[in-house]
Amino acid sequence: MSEEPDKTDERMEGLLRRWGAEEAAEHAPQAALPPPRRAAGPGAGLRYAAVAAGALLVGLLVATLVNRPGQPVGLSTRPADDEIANLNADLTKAQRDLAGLRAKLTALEADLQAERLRLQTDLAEMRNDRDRHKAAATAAAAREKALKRTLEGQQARLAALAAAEKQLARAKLDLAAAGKALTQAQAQRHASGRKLAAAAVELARIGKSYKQALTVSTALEGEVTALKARREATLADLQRAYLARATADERGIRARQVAGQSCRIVERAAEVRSLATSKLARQAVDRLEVVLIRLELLNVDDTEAVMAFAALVRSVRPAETVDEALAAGGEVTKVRAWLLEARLILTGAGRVG
Amino acid sequence: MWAKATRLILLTCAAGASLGAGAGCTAGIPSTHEMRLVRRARPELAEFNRAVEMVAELRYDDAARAFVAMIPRFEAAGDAEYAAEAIFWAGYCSEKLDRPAVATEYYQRVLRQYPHARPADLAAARLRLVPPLE
Repeated sequence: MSEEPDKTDERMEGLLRRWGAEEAAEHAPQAALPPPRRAAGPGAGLRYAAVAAGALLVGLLVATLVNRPGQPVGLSTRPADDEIANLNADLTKAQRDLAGLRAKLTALEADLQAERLRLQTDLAEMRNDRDRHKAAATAAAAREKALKRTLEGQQARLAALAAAEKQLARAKLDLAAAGKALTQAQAQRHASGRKLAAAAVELARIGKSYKQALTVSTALEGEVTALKARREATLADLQRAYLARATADERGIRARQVAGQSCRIVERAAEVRSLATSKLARQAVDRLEVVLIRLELLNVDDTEAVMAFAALVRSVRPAETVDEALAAGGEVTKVRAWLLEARLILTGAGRVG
Repeated sequence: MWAKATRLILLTCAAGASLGAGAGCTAGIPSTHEMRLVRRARPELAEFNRAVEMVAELRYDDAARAFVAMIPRFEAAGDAEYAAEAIFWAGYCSEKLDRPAVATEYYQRVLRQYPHARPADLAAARLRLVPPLE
C-alpha cells in the first residue's frame, strides 16, 4: 500500500476532529447561556443533537466506504478496529453530548414552562389591572359628569341668587320710595281731611244760606216776573213809538228802515264804537252795524232779499246781543242809547217770513 | 235773466195776494217753496247773503274775498244794485281790516261806477270816516 490512503485517512480524521471541536466549541457557550425567553424554544437543542448525530453517522458511513475491500479509491491501510474504537469513542462522546443536551432541553422546557406560567400570571394581572383601570376610568368619568352637573346646577343657583339679590335691591328701593310716598300720602290725607272738614262746614253754611236765599228768591221771583213783563211792555211801547216815525202806509221792514234812516243810526255807529269801553260792547256795535247797513240798503220789494235779511237778524239775535252788552255795564249814555235804538229797530225783524 | 225770473214769481205772488186767492203767498210774501224756486234761479244771491253773514260774524277777511269774487258776476249779469253793494261791502271789510287805502278805493269805485245805486250814499259817508291817505 502507498502512503496516499493514510494521508487521506488522516486528513479525514483531522477534518472530523476539527469539525467536532468546532461543534463542541460552538455549542458549549450556548449551553452555558440561559435559555432565551422567546426565540430559543425546546426545538433548538433537539436540532443541535440531530445535527451532531447526523454528523457522526456521516463519518461512520465515510469510514465504511473508505475501508471496503476492492475499492480502489481512498482505501485505508489501517486496521478497522482502531477506527471502530475511535468511532465508538466518538459515539460515546456524542451520546454524552446528546444526554447533556437532553438534560439542557429538559431544563429549558421547565424554564419555558415556568416562564410561560409567570407570563400568564403577569398577563392575567395586567388584564385585571386594565379592567380595574377601565372601571376606575368609567367611574371617574361618571363622577366627572356628576360633578359637572352639580357644578352647572350650582352655577345656575348662583345666577338665580344674583338675580334674586338684584330684585331684592330693587324691591328695597321701591319700598323706600313707597315709604316716602306713603308718608306724603298720609300727610296729604291729613291735609285733605282738614280741608274736607272745613268744606263740610262751609257746605253746611252755604246750604243754610241757600235755603234762606231760596226763600227770598221765591218771594222775589214773582216781583222779577212782573218786572220783566213791565220791561217788555215798556220796550214794546217804546218800539211802537220809535217805529211810528214812519208814515201810516210804511209797515214792517220798511218802517224799521225809515226809523233807522231818520235817526242816522248807521252814521253814528263809528262814533259809538269808538266810545265803547268793553270788547263785548264793541263787538255788539260791529255786528249790529252790519245788520243796520243791510237794512238801509235793503230793497223791501225784493222778497228774497227781505227773507235773507230776516235770516241775518235771527243769526245776530239783536235783543240778546244788546242785553248782554248792556248787562256788562260801564258804557256811556251815547253807547247805551245807540244799542237800545238798534234793539228797538231790529227786534222782531227776524220774524218776517 | 235771473232778475226776470224772480220778478215773475213775485208778480205772480203779488197778484195772488191782491186777489185773496191764498196761492201760497201771504200779504205779498212768497212761501218757502217759492223762495226755493227763487234761490235756484239766483244762486249768486245765496252766496251774497252768506258773505253778509260772514261780515256779521266779524270774519272780514273771508267775507272780503267772497265779495270781491262775486263782483264781476253781478256786473256781468247787469245787476247794478248787488254789484254796487258787493263793492261797498268789500270796502267795508277792508276798512275793518285796517286797510284804508283799499277801502277808499272800493268806496270811490261805488261812487264812480254806481252813483245812483243805494250803496252810493253809504259809500260817501264811509269815505268821510276813513282816515286820510298819506
